[in-house]
Amino acid sequence: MRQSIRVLGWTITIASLLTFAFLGFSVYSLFQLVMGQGIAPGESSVSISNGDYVISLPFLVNNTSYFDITKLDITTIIKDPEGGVISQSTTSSGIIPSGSSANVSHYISIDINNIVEKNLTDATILMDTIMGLRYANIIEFSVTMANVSIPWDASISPKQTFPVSRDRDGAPFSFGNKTNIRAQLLLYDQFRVFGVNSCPT
Amino acid sequence: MSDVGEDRNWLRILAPRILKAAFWGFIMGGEILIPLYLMPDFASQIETLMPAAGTGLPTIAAIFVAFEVAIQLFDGTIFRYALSISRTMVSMILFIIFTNGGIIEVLMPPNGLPSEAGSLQILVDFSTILAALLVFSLLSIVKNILQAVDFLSQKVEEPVIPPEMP
Repeated sequence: MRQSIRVLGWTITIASLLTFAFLGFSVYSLFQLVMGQGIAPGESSVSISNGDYVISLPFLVNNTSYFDITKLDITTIIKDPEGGVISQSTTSSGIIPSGSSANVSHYISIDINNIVEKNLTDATILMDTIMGLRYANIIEFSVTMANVSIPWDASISPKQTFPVSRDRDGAPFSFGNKTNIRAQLLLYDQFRVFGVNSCPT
Repeated sequence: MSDVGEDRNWLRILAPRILKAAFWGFIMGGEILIPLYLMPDFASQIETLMPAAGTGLPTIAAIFVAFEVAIQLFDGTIFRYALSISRTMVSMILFIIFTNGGIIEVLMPPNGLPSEAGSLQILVDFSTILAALLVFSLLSIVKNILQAVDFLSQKVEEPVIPPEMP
């Protein structure tokens, strides 16, 4: 009996030490990955399609750490100044093995109708960004940046851009555009956007 | 004269135990206090990561030192095993409380960031590893119970000499 108790004691000690070592090593490796530009944002681009204002945010994930990234989720929530949600977009990636890299493109899609309805003129919109990853199959890590202020120049706000008349219902109608995207709004009724035709300049 | 001799006998028994208890107390928690006193800034930074603020690392170290000293002083008795089991239970509770169930959350307030940036929250969830450590702790309790049973069975098996025998 004494021998078996001794074996059990040693097993517990060794297993605990290995678990602590794994925890320390994986957390250290994870912070090296995050702090060492292992996840680097690329150059963003903007486009308009089907009435949505689409911002594309590419990320290069270079997993130089010792363990696999099992899951990577990027979520952005765009809110009006009062905190009402305008848009929510989530992008998930598959497994990124240790020693490999992957490109993850995150698309933030904002429905222009939503902006028009909320009547957002020169305002500051708020953005929450949540980046979560599952590391080494066991550790969940997430960074949340909440309420980041983004100035909205109201390039497609109703007051500034398209004085709509009922005579023009449904007809292609151009609007005052401050962005570098050539766009054409298809309108009907008062300030309601039917669709957007766009082509980047 | 006999009193002096008895005192010396007690001292001979207790002195090695006290020394052993001091040594193991230092090994099982006392050494943590050295870097904490040498680098108080580092200690306060670690304490900010702990969800249960207010009870600092010195308190935890003191709890473990006290348990280890008591265990060593009661070596050779059944109390040693009872104290070992209590220590494991206390360490399990402390593990859960101080790691917030394996979820450590660091919140940076907006005043530490640029004005246009909001708040920044970093969250590490290692509850699976905590669960594994708690299983090991439960196994440790089982081991201590087995040791206590073994100790008691040894006591029973010891040859008893009837008092009336010469």
